[in-house]
Amino acid sequence: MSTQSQLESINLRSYTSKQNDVPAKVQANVEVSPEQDRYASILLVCSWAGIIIMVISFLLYMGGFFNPLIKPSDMPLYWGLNVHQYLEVTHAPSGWNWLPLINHSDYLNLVGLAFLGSVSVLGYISLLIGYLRKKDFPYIIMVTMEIFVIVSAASGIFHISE
Amino acid sequence: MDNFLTHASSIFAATNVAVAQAAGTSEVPWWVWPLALLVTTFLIGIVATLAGVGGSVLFVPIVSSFFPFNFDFIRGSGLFVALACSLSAAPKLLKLNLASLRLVIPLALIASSSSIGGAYLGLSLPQSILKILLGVLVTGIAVLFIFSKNSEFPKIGQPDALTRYFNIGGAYFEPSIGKDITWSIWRLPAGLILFSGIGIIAGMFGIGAGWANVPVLNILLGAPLKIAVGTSMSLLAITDTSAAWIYLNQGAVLPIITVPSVLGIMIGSRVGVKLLKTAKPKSIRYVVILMLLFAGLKSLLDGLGWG
Repeated sequence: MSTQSQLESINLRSYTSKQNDVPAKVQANVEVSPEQDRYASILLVCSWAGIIIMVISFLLYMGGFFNPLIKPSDMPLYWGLNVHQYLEVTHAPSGWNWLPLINHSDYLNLVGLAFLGSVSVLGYISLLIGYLRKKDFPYIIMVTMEIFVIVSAASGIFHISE
Repeated sequence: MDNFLTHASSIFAATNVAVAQAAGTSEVPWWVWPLALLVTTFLIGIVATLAGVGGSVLFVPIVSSFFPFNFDFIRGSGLFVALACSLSAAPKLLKLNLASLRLVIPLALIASSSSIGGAYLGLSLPQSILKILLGVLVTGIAVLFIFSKNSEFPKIGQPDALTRYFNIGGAYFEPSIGKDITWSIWRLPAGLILFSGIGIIAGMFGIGAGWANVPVLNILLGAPLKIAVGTSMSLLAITDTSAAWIYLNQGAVLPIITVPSVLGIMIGSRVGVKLLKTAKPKSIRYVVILMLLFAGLKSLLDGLGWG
């Protein structure tokens, strides 16, 4: 047995012996819990969907389709400005005001990015349902609070002025 | 393989030099920048995966050093880079039980709440201050990589009351020894305090926080290394979401910067995973440490106006 393997073996023995002292309240479970499995599936499907939307909308933008308000070729004039200057010079909308502009390909790009930003909330809603069924109150409270935190951040209520 | 890695490092350095030279001229066609960003982030994706670090910890300092984009937009993109990487890796880790949602949920709640504060700070502070702080932070991360020694199976004492109340723990199959490993954690309250700081840093600088998550989960909380890495990756999907929304709502996300970056890193990471079977991660780790030291120093000098 190599030194490394011996070390690992010793570490593992001491670790598992410690684990035997773990109170019964902390129970091991080799199986993936159904809510964790469902959450992972939602993340997998939705993240790929978001990335596909992002790629298609970006190709449309780079190709000059759907009448972008700022053409990609004009972007070097603006991408060196800080965000406050950029908003002032381009009159770009902040918050959710970009939504009515998605018929323009530069704002259509934000749909995929916003979708990526919503994937965790969709996963957390499925977790909330799972924990409600199990009546796991600490996790019901924490998951609800997390949904509230992300939705608050997404709502645009946290406005930052220059 | 070593030849390939040497060539990859040379291409990386040459790309950065070319990009830096191009940044100084206004005659560069506009399409060169998103293309150069795609190539650079592709290489960052490979190097980051081989070195076992998150892509955005390299993305923000390197892109802010060599590309003409404003720091606000680079940080906004960095958060989406970290978010996309996390979303693509987390499902598999969760399904293999290498990440625990019972551990993720309390830590994510603290980190994502504080990342909103971090994003607020990042978009409010003067950029020179931010660059100085980023320079210090990135240099510190490089030092952390040199001296930190993660433990595969840390020894832990009795789980604290909060860990027992949340019933945090689990088991996973370890193929190297052909056994199921049972694990739990301890010192959760201290971990929650540290994760509030990690959230602020993630939101402020737009860098994913895997470099901080893993040592806290592994060394402080006592999670086995594989659980620490898997849980950290799953955490980022939530921590970075809140901050990413703040940047998106402020208009600090430009698709022409963000989309090529996300795609480049994701494709590069997949190539990196394939190369991982034959590459020597230790030598790559030294390359990453040097890159971080260089980028950290450059950011510090830029912030001080000496760049």
